[in-house]
Amino acid sequence: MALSETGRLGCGRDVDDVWANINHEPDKHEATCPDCQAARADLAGLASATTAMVETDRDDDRLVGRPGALAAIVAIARTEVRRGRTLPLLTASPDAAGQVTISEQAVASIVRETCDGFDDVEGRRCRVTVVNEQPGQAPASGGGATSLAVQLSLTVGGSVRIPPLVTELRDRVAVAVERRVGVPVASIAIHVEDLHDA
Amino acid sequence: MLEKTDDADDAPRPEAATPADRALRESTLVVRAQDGDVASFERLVRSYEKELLRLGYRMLTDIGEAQDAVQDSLVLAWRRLPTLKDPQAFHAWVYQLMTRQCLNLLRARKRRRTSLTHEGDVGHDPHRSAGVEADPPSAAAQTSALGAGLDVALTTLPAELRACWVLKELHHLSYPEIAYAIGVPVATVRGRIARARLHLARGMSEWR
Repeated sequence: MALSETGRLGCGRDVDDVWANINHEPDKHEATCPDCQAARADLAGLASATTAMVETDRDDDRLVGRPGALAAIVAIARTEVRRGRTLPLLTASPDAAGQVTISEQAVASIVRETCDGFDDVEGRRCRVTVVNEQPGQAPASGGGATSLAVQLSLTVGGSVRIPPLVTELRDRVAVAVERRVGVPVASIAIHVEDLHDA
Repeated sequence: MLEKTDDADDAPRPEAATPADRALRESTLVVRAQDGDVASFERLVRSYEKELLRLGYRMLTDIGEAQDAVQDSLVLAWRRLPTLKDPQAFHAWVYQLMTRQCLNLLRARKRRRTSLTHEGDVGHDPHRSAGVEADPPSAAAQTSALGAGLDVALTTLPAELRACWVLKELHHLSYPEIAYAIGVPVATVRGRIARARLHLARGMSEWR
């Protein structure tokens, strides 16, 4: 057998290179080198069996997740989910039954869904904080939000023009959040963290 | 052709398709899942479940154990996701979790086998280890002598070599990705794959 523990052939060539070319015609060196020819012969069966194994495993209908496994994994994730901060939404009036709060994650979902409506734009990290109209002052009893501040990172396609995108996105996010949550959005800071190929 | 006069016209149009069905970059799904978005994590699980199961089956030769290992690895992925610094590295990272899970299970099997062998209960048989009966190869593999040869040769390969070879040849990970998944230098991975090829080619020559 021409193959050895070192992975190098007698002619000095690396077996990796022979392997990389095994499913093609021998190159100029291999066509005349006895070491490479012997190595190709040693590897030919392994190469075709390897290709077949990839296909066989892919088509093997026994190799599927156990029924319910996916649901179980997702259920665990949902139980342990990191929902971010809890944002107080409404200032409780003295006669109200209690305060209304929303998780940062829930607002972030609305923001990301809005991003998904734009071609070639993907919303990534999203932070949401409560803004009270008089900064520095302790919120009134109940501490409800008078508005929200959103920080959002994006990746956009290389052909997307960012200034018009940002204008449109801000408008849509503000409308969507206010419609669903009932609190206006005071600011939306957008960070384009990546440009991807379309 | 109409000339565009207003910048706002260049804003990407909202798509007609349901946003939930939209294809997103893997790194975006990873970042969203890190942010606590379970729906994005579920999409990652869907795209990796079968792949990891194929890895588990070739490592453990037992479909049930492979299914358990996939489930454990993906739950671990959710728990450790906040520690993944580079979202682009998710692919190699999730393979790392699954490979290590398999190697740990194989080590545990070996320990069990050793203790049982000391008691004289089980002989040394690479195809049967500590009560784990290898699932038979698929029908398709059995129809070809070479396929059957590779199936058997692979089960006799030491676990560390098998992991490197399977990741490279069946899952097409790069050398640096395998090095990261197994936690050894790239040079070690190269050496292990060279040894694995030699072992497999020799093993298969008996089947020709």
